Amino acid sequence: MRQSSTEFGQLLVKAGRGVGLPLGVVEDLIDPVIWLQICGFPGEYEFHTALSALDEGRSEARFPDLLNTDRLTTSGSVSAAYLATGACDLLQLDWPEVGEEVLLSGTESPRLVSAALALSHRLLRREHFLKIVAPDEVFISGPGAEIICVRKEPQHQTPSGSGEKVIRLSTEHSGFDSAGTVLIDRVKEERFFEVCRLKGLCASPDIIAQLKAFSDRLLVPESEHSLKFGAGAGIVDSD
Amino acid sequence: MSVAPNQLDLSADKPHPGKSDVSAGLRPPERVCKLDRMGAAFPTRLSFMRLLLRRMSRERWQMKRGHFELDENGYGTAVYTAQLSDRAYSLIAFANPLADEDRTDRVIASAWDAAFVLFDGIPSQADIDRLRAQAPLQEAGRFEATDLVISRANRSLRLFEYVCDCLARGEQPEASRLNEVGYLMRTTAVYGNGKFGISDRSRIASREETQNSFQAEMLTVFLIRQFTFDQLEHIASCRAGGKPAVLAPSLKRSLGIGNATGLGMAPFVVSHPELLHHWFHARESALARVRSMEGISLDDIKRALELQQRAYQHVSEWRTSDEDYQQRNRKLLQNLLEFRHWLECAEEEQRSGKFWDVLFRRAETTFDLDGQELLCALLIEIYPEVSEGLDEMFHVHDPEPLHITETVRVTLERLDGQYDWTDDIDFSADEQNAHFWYVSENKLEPRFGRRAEEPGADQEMPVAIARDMAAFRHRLRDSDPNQSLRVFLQAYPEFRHLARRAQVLGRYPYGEIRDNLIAEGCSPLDILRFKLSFFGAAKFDPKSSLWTRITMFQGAPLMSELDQPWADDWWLSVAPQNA
Repeated sequence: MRQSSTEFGQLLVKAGRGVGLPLGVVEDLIDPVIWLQICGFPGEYEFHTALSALDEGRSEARFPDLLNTDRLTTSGSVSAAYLATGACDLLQLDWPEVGEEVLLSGTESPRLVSAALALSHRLLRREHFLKIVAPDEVFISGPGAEIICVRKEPQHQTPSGSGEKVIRLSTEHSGFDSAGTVLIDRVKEERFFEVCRLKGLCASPDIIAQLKAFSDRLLVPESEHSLKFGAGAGIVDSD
Repeated sequence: MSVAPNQLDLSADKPHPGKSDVSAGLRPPERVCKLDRMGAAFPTRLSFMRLLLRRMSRERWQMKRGHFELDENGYGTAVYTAQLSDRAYSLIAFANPLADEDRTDRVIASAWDAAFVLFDGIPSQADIDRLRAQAPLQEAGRFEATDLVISRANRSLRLFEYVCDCLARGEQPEASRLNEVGYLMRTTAVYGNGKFGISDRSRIASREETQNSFQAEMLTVFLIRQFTFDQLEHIASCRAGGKPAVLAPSLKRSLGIGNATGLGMAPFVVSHPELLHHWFHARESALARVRSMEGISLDDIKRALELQQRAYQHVSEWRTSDEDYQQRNRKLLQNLLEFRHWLECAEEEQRSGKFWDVLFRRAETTFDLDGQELLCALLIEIYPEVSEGLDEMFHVHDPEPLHITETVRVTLERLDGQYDWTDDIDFSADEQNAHFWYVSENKLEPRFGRRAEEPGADQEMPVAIARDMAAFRHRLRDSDPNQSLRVFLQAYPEFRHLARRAQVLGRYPYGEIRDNLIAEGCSPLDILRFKLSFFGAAKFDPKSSLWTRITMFQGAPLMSELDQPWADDWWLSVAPQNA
């Protein structure tokens, strides 16, 4: 189903608010979801997964404490929306330290969190590299504003249904090597964005319908009073 | 009340009160970003319609009507193309029958006299066939990335048939009848920027001709205007047995495109602070340039007198059923007479100084807001060069991340500087929380409700910025000042979007409306008028505080007249004499 990125973005905001996410948290997720969608990933699915988990109580609407733990950081059942926002904020504090590895586990949408981290790191224009190892892909954000995404070779991917989805986060001054199929680099990303600019996005109609169901929670049911007076014009306003 | 020349104060005047760090000479945000003054705005040469037509003239766009297949009732399809040097834009119009009882301007409408699409390029027959099925559905249709703008319009029941009948009889309509309405058709929505699946703005944002605000939408309306003339003449000709039936050019020019504007515009203004800042800043910069001028020539005075005369006639011809607007316009006419007197009495010594600045300061103490804002627009109109460079400002730059490393203290200091105007508002009082903005499930129509009387306040749109910022400041004051904003926002995530907004406004001080938008007495009409004035609309005719009719491109050159030397001189149009 073809959508404009504007229409898609507005739906994401409304769906997020419909589920009860604070507007400021939703705002931080829009760019990563759209970026995933443009670059050929099922961004709408990732977002819907995060919202559904929140809506059904399978994840918690709280920020994890990512600073006061040792090497292994367990996010528990924290919503990917809050994990992504909290982790992206910490990037501004030069977290994680160079040479340190942080594990974020238990998120229902590791790809959403990974994309958010990669894009946030790019916006910060840091001099070091950030490597984000998700179950199926590796994202690397570097000093030249380039984001590289590599699909891990099958033997390195996390089997589906195998349990917790872990994100490994680390920073280095020099670049990372990562074996696998390059899904996104500077050239590919520009091409994807050009296609989106010219043709829009493709999204799953089923997921769009489910996101719309979330966004419809923001609509106020019709009433006679609202119909007559809410818009300031008569029901049949004509010249 | 007349003013004797020697009462004009040539001495240095008292400085404007203001705390914002704005360029010297600009009226500060605390003065202009107020609802009552916004609700007195007039179109200027920086208006989006004016920007578009100047570009079309300067770049010699070739305008032509291509496909034109209408039956004797005017139903069918027409295509108009604007050909630039390296690309084209085409308006495709679909006109169809519509029963009078089905004709409504509300968003809840599902049928219209005509539907339109602005197409990126020249449409093929397949494109036309596709859009014939989708365009009449409007919001319910699905569109492609080549479809830049969609719109729909209804005929003026008061005017269309009368003019058609005159032309069919070989006569021209009376100019006074045309002036009563001002348009043959009025649009009830003009959607761009990716709504309902049409093209994203990003497709055209880097193009010089569409980089500025709403240029594609303005082109759409301009071409719709041409369609209304052609449809009218076609129908009249058919009724006259095939004889040509042509509306006189002067009468055509006096007709624009009407528009029925509801609430939807207002949340847009609130949610786009950077854009709002650019609009304000450009206008205030132009005004400041004029006010800084010294040595005003007699030719400048003559031009000012011409514009004063035109403005006076325009306001005199302004038809509105709203009694408040009628009263305001009567006062406005008095202000205009006073201004004329000042001009006629201006002596050489007075003109050698900052004459316009003196007059403007005088107006600020003696004119109503309408008079002041009309004078602002008039002064900008005198000098075409004052808009140089300013008309390239109307677009948004890339966003920056929310900076969370600052402390609560720093955040609070910023907010105290930006939102101290909310200190005088008691948000615990019912009258300060009287309203809420919401979206109805009925075709997503934006509406304005009364909190104590209607359900739905818990789904209100985030438009109550004053109230929410006050709550944010209150919470910050109760927090550890040395705490980081990051930690604070984790505890209170409901303020995250406000923290971002405040940081944005640090760069764009004109980006906030400095009034409580949910208070008793808040008139959304003020926001609508402000935005519409930037479109270039005039002749506001409110139907309530939530809804107004306007006219766009009234007085503008016709499609065939863009190369005329006077093509840009149509600010505040006046009715022609009978043709």
